[in-house]
Amino acid sequence: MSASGGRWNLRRVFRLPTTRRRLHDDVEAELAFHLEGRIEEIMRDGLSRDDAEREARRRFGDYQRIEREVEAMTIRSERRRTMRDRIENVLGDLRYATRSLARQPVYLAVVVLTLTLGVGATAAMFHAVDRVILHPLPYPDADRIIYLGTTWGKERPIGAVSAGRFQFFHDNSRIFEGLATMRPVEATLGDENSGPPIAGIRVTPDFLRVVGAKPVLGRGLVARDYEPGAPPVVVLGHGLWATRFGADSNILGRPVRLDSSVYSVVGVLPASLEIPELQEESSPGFFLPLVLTPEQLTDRGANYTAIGRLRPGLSNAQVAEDIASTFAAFRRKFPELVEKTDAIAPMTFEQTTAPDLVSQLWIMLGATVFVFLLACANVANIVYARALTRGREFAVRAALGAGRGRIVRQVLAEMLVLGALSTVTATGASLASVRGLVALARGALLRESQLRLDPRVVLATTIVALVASLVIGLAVGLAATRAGFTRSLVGSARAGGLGGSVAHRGARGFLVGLESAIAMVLLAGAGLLITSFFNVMRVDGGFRREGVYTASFKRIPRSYSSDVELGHRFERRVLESLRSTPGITSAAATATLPLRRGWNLPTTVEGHNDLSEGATEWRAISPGYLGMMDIRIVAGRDISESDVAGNPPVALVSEAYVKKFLSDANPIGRRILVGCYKGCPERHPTPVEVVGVVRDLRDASLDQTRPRRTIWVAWSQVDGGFSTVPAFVVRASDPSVAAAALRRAISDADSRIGAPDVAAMTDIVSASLSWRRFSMVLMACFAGVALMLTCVGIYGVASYAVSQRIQEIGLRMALGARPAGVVALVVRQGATPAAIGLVVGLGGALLLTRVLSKLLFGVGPRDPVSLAVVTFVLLGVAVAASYVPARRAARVDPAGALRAE
Amino acid sequence: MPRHAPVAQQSGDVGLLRGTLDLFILKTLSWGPMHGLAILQWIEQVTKQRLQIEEGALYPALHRMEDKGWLDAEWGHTDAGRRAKFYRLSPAGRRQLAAELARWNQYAEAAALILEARGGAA
Repeated sequence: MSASGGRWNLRRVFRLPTTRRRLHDDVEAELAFHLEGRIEEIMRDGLSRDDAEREARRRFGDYQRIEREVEAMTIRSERRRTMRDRIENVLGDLRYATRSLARQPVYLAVVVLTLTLGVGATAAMFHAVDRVILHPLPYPDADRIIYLGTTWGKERPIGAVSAGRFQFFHDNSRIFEGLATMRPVEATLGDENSGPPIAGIRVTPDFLRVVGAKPVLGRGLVARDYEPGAPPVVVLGHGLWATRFGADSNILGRPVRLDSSVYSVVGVLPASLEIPELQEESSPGFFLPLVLTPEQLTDRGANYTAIGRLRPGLSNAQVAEDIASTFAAFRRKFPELVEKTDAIAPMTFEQTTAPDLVSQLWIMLGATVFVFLLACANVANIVYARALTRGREFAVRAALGAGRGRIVRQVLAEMLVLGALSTVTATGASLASVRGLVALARGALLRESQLRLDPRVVLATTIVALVASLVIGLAVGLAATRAGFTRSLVGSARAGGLGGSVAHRGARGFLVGLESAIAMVLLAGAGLLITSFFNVMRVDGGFRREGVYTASFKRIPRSYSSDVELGHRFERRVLESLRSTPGITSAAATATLPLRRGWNLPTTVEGHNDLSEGATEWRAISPGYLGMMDIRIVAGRDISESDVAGNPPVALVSEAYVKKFLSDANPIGRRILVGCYKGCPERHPTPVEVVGVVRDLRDASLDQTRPRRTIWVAWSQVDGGFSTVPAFVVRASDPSVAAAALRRAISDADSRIGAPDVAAMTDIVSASLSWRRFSMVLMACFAGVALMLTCVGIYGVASYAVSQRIQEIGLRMALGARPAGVVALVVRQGATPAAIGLVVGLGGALLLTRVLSKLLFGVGPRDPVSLAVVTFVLLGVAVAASYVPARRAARVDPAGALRAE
Repeated sequence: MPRHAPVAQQSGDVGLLRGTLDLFILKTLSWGPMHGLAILQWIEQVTKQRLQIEEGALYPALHRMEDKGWLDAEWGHTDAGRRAKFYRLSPAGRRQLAAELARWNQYAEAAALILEARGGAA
């Protein structure tokens, strides 16, 4: 027996793939040996070779069959063994990787943390983009949901249409399975004393079909509920049913009192029904029929959300064609309700709600991809460094017969373990940061139900993390085994340095360059957004922010809209009470707070019917409001205490209004019809007389580019309609005094009105910038992470360079090199690739910051100051990161360094 | 031809009980590594040729046992310098042999009890 146990085991470890041919030959040889042995044995008994062979074969049995059987068996078992070996190898690699990683907890933590940052940020942003842009609607088959929007000329369409247009499309368009509209309503459940009003909606008959919801109890609203004189019925939302009716399954047919009317409950809708079009009231408590009155149907205001479910299988062209032809028919039938430039356009949900958010999220997703790439480059750098320090281990294993492939596999195995760990951490981190994103965007971004762990996002995270890990592992494994591999066996990486380490330095230098280039782009973006943010913050809106406190109401009891005098009495009482409170300098009322959504109405200047079509911002204020808000009156007078109901109504107009409509003569004394198109044919309101001109403000948003045409009327002369209860504004030096005074004055005046929303004006300003803050903070975070990672990368390369050249440095110092020279040498080595990357990144930034243009304010996408600042920051970081190892190098003891090894 | 007389397995001498071939192979290999022919010859020699085995059937059995991990196989050279495939017991094979032997002995004892019992009740 020549076989030894040693060779045996070796063959198991490094098993060569066995070919089918060899298996066949082996079986044949084995059986042939047997036959030959027998033949010889039989021949010894004196038989001829032919007879002996016949006898041997006879005794052997069916040779062909046995050969086939044995061969098939060997093939099967070989296949199984190969598979088992492979699995064993992979498991072995993974076990080995886990063990060796466990010995290096810091390395493990750094790699996993870096990958988590990159993958987690991308996953969170992807989650947000998916929920907000790709799948924003909770309805089934949401890709068939469209909205009808209104455009005027070149202006961006708004996501609503007039009631008349809605009805016409509903009756005439052929592309919809259903087209519905809704109006939010509020009502007090039970009697007047049973708490604040509850939000509900009125909907048209198609509503449930459009949103694809089926009642969990009873029925939805059907055609007969909309007929005149039909018994009043209500369908309850799941939330209200559960909280106020104890989820009573016998509720059907029960009478429910909403405000002053009694309705009979006919159904309950599922908890899953969410109506994101209603924003924060996305789960209404009750659903009532919406019947459009003739008055509403001839109102031209685009105030109705028209949500439609398309028939399946329609092309975009078919949809556009039908909408155009239906609107053409509408124009023919109701020419008086259509302007020349009017058009109806199909819109998507996110176009109707947050068109700016969409582009912002895409930009931020792009930024996270950069962060991800940067994280990968950094991980590659770290892994590379570790591969090099393990050069000897690898060399020894290579000498023992491990080929390059095997070592690459080992690196891959480690990366797989690290990638798997990162998947877990990144999933957690992305979930946490999706919540953070929402907090940053103040709830407008995602609804709670959209924050749940989404299996698709988890899957995507896992795939991205694993693929990235494997690519890094493969790249590093191949690169590390390519250069100076055998050299490290001969003389250790250190002594033999130059040849191999130059290649290693090249690879790592490239990674550091890549990192700094990416960091440069992100920093430039962050710099521009930060500059923009502070530019906007500094904008003078034309109104006072400091020391101003406000109280406003979200819901107002129905009684106020039925009795106008109630609101006026309430306003007078609150203001009196506030003005007599110590610590309150002044108090006033306004229908619209600055930077909050206000009313936009058409106005007509008397005698200029043709001129004045156009939207005007409408503000109703109490006397003293302009003064306490430091809003300057440039001509005429303020609204005074005598401008009350009964006296001739007055108004102030903004400079922009004057410029557009009243520039032909002195604006003071002119008369304006408010709320009219082209001169109000019927229902003529009393015209208001212009008594003053107010400076243009930026009170729609601080970054508004053009001043809005605005009209300021006396709140006491408003007879209901838009504003039944105003917001209150006080000036005070102590915020807590102001808040307490506002709350007390309001509850003293009417205890049933509910707690007001009290906010400092500075907070309102800040909240109005939430989108800007959102993108700025995100980009700043990304840039910060980028800077940190780049710093780590540069530090790593410089440290490695020092450890590589320690002998050379020792020699230089022994020969008289000064420490400063050594420091310069090392810093140069660390910072050079960073500087090259920086230049590349600067080029990239000049190209890429253009996508930010829309988000910038008061600064160009190629702002030289911002770019210069971030360049210096990055350069400073590069120098600082390589200075630390450089100092270490400069303290090298020449004698010790030369003796080493 | 006394020695090499054709022997039909169905009739004549002792046939081979199912599964016992494995046991014989294991037992035979417990003396040391052998190639297939040597295993057969050894069995013939010990049983004084009272037990006839279809020779071809040996090889599927050997390969099956190798696949089960009871045997290790390796190519080597015979004393005459011929290349042959040698089998030897693996540790698992040794355990298997012990188990099979125990079972065999139990079976033989039980069979003996039945066959040697004196018939008739009471």
